[in-house]
Amino acid sequence: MLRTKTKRRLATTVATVITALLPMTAMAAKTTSYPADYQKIIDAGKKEGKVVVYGTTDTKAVDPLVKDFEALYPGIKVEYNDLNSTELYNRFISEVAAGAGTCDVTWSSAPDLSIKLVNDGHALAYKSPETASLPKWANWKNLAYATTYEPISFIYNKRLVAANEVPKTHADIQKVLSNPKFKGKMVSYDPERSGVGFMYIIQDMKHNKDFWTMANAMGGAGMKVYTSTGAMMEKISSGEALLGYNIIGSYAFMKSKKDPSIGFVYPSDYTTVMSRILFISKNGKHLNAAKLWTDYILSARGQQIISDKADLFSIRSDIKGETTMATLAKQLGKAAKPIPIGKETIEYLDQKKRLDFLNKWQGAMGTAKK
Amino acid sequence: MTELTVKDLNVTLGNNHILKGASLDLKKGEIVALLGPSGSGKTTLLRSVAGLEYPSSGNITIGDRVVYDGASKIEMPVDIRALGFVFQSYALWPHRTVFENVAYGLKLRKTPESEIASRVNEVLGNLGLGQLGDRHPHQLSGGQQQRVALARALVYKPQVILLDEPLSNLDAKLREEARIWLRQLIIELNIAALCVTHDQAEAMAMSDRIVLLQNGIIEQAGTPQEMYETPRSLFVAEFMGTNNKLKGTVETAVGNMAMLVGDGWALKGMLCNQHKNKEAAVAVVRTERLALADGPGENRLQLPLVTSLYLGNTWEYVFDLNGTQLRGYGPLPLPPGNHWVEIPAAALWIF
Amino acid sequence: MKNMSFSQKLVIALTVLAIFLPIGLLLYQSFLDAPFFQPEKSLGLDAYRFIFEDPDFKKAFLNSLYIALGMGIISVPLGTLLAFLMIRTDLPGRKWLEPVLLIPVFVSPMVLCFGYVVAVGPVGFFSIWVQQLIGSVPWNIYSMKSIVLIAGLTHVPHVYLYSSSALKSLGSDVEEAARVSGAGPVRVALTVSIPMVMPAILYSAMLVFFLGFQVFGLALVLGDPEGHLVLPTYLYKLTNKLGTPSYHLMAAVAMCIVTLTLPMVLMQRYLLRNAGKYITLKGKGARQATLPLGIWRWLAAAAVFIWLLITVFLPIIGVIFRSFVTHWGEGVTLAEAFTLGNYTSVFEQGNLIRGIVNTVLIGVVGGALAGICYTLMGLATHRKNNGWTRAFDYSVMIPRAVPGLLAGLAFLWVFLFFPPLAPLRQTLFSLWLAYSVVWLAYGMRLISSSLLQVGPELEECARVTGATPGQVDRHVTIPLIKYGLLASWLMIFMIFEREYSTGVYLLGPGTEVIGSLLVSLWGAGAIELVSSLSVINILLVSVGMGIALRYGVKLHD
Repeated sequence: MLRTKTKRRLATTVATVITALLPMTAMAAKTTSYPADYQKIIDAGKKEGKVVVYGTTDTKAVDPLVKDFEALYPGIKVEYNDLNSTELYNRFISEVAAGAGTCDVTWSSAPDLSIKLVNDGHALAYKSPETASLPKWANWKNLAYATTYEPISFIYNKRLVAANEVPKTHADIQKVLSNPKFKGKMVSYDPERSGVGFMYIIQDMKHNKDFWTMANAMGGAGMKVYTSTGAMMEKISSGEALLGYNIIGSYAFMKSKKDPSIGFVYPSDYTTVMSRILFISKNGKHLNAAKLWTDYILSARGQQIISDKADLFSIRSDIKGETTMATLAKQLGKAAKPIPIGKETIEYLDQKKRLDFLNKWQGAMGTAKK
Repeated sequence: MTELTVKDLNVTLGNNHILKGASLDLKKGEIVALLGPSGSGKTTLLRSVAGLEYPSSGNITIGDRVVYDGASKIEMPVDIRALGFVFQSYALWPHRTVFENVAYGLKLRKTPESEIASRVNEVLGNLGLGQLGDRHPHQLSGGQQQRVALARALVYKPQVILLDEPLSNLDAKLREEARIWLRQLIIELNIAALCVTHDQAEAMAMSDRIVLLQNGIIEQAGTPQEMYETPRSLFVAEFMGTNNKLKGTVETAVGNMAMLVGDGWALKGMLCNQHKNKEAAVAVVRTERLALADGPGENRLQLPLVTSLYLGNTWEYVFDLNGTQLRGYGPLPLPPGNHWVEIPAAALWIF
Repeated sequence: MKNMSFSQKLVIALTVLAIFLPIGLLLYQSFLDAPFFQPEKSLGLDAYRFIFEDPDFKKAFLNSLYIALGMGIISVPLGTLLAFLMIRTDLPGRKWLEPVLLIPVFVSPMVLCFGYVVAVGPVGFFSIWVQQLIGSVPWNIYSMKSIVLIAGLTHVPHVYLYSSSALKSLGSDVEEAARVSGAGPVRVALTVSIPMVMPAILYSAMLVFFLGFQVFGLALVLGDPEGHLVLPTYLYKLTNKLGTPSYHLMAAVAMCIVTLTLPMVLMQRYLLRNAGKYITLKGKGARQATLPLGIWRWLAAAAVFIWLLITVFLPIIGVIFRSFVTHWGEGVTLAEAFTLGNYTSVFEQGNLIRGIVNTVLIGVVGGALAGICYTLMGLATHRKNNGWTRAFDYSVMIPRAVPGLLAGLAFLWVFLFFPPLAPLRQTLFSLWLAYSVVWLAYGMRLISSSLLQVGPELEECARVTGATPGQVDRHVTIPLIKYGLLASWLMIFMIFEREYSTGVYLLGPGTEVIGSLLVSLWGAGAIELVSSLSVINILLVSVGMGIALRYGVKLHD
């Protein structure tokens, strides 16, 4: 605890300097202004009594947010449903189609599925008063909001991988893969079975001009692909695998706090940054409460908890701490590459495009296997 | 008064025609035995009356109630036919005491508790089970179980009681006693009883009339005496008693008498079927009608003795007639050698 | 439907509705090219065309077939033999063995497999020990062979359950006759006892074959590293392969599995066409005597122990070990990694606590309710052999042919699009209904094997005495199978405790259950919580089982 506090204080001082330097965070300087009639929304929200959230963040991480929100707005209960991104999508569209009660807010780590839902007209337009404090790209047409700023990292086993062996860039990955020590010892998401894994790999393809060379090297070194983050981290921690590629930074960060075997790196050439996307469902029954929740999640108060207690990364530049955009910006500079929010997010939901990529990927992976 | 009428009853199970047009009737205070070898359809007939099998056509009437009629599609469920049924295995409910087993039928008939107690105790007392009300079936002997099963079937005073081989699970001694008191009981209660058995001695001892079935058809029905003394077919003749069987050809038939001629012998007998001259036939004679004779005479043969067996109350002799064994009884042991044997013409039934 | 009362018809109608609403939805969905509830959709065979052209489907199908057959080949003989040893012989330690060997029935296969990874995975503690001993690890738990072996061994108890109850009701006179004729214990088992309980064995073989197509947790944990795809994981793949979930493809896969069940059931019928020759199994009171094993006694005990070691102790120790450490692996000592934190954090989380409470609820209360429903269905079809009951027998198998996850989705649709049920969607009832339908085949068989032990004349006698069919059930049949019903309750309790994939779509805050929490924790990386929660679950079920056995529930009556 003490360690974190000191760090945070340090970060505070640094962050003030950094914010001025970075154009992306420049907006944070503007003050947040809530409309005069905001109390109306609060009253209506209290009348509604609850807000139903479908989210992919695990309940334990969300719990502090829920408690704080309920303290802020007594009388509004948060019903948080922990689902994986596919379940969330399935449940949402089924419930909407049936005209049955669905959630008021979705909060998902699969930007493509979220944006597809928004694009299909399921989102309620709402301009959050907090918008001004967010990066510009984080508000998509007042329909969907990026709420976190989570780097996609490499993770490794600290006991078994020497400091000089740890890859720092994507180019290093290729080097590492030629080392027989790592043969069959690298793990990543299976883009065929994991929607988020697919998303991250597509970002790699965009940002890394040597992507297919790297993919071939991965296949050649017998990289193993999984669907579960937990399984991958467990394997790295135990030494069954040594290196994890494209692991969500917030999970790695959380795990490394408890598990001395886990180390992580944000690649310095570019680091994909993923955001949890939140939107208000048009078919929700508690729309005022949903607005309150949205504003709360985006607010400094909510974001501070996201950073400090939920072990996610705050997207606001005015939030200080180890897991914030501000700190990341300091570490990564321009190397941070947020996954864009918008039409291009769902580019690869096109069947043909997706299957073409997957076929090519399978080809790369198969180079060594058979 | 007729309590039960079965008319032209047919039962089929899949492709199996089990009962082919059986008819019978049963009067108050009368016991009718359904007799037959296994697979003859006797149990099916009994269960059809109870409503446990589903006939394909025919009619069953109990008292004045039509409980089954194929033509008008009447089929009364088993529970309201109000019959008594004693199962071969007794089917005592193992989770209930003797009292509860017997009382169940009364409970179902919503009889007041006090009346149930008195009636159950009365029937248990009558059957010599007075002290056993609190026991569970597995604590009883076979004979006691059998009486509990009977008590259970009688306690609600059914018009008709159906018994499925009620004595077959008892040992031989007990069985002979049981059939006497069972008959007395039914006559005393003045109810009608239909009883399935495969044992012709038991059928004759217990019942007023016997219905003999074979392959789903009633071969013959009548009083035990008629069945035993004037069988209408070879099957009935053979089934009803212990017999000697002779094969030969019919010659010089005059009226209802004819000569049966075999290999080196000729005997006069009663013609029970139409036979042409020189036609092959089988003759049956009850073992007890074979008598020793003091010398040659009509319908007498001199035969070698194969063996004589001591049965306690009598001796059984076995003679040889050119490869056919003939058996008879007598009070004394016979010395080995040839003996004269007489078969009365009236006792030799030619089929 | 001759001799069927209105209430019996109602029970059958409701059951058929509960089965065919979700299955029918899936069938319909499989012939569409978009979600059935969306306006732009058209009928066609595109879904089938797609999966039949997809090489992954073929791969997954063949792997699943391989697993199903392998499981059958391993678990049926072993389960039957185990039942013979436990029920008929003087095997040492039978009393305490019975509850222990049922552990694989109620521990989620995902957890069990994870335990295997911790124990005998590439860097598992047992593997490292073996490596130090002989220089290398002579096995690879991620290979297809290991998957089949583990699947087979962990399904031995399923076969055991059915064969043992049949063996229990087999009079020992037939065995004694064989002994007198000069047969040794092994010969008696192979030539007399086991052939006589063939119907039960065939049934369990069929159930195991079905479950072979459901192997999901196992394939997820052990199949991922080497990319072994099976049908349920292929379903997962289909969810993401096209970006958005492709229900029509998933439904088509499910229908392929359902179609497979038809020849299976017909084959079972064909094999059992002369079921009359097993007539000795009728009625109760067959005298039981144990068969002395002689020199085989300790050999058999050793074999059972080895099976237990591999199937139960090894993975369970792995899970328990994992629940007490922060991390593990080559070079990590227990002393440095030991923690109780995994347990304290379970009790700090409201949803996990609720999950535990709900799991107990759905196991105990839900299990009882399901037992009651199965009993009603069993009674409705009891001793009736007509087209309806035969169709019914087949129908109850179908839900188990649909992979749990998809069955769960289908139930979500039923609760969404079938108005009478809509208000109950967000309650534990929805979960209970899904569980009950999915496990119909398992539960019905437990009940009907009890029912068949009641001599028919006991019921007929009550009918003649004047009882209506309902009164016969209440006064005679049910009291007579009381112990069988209690044992079935225990079995249903166990299987409900462990069920996971079916519930995923029906859960909400307040209706979490351990099984599904495990899946979501697994996904999010909280493996230590998965372990401690599993240990808690195993303890819970053990306590439940202990109480039940202590207070007179016999696994066999």
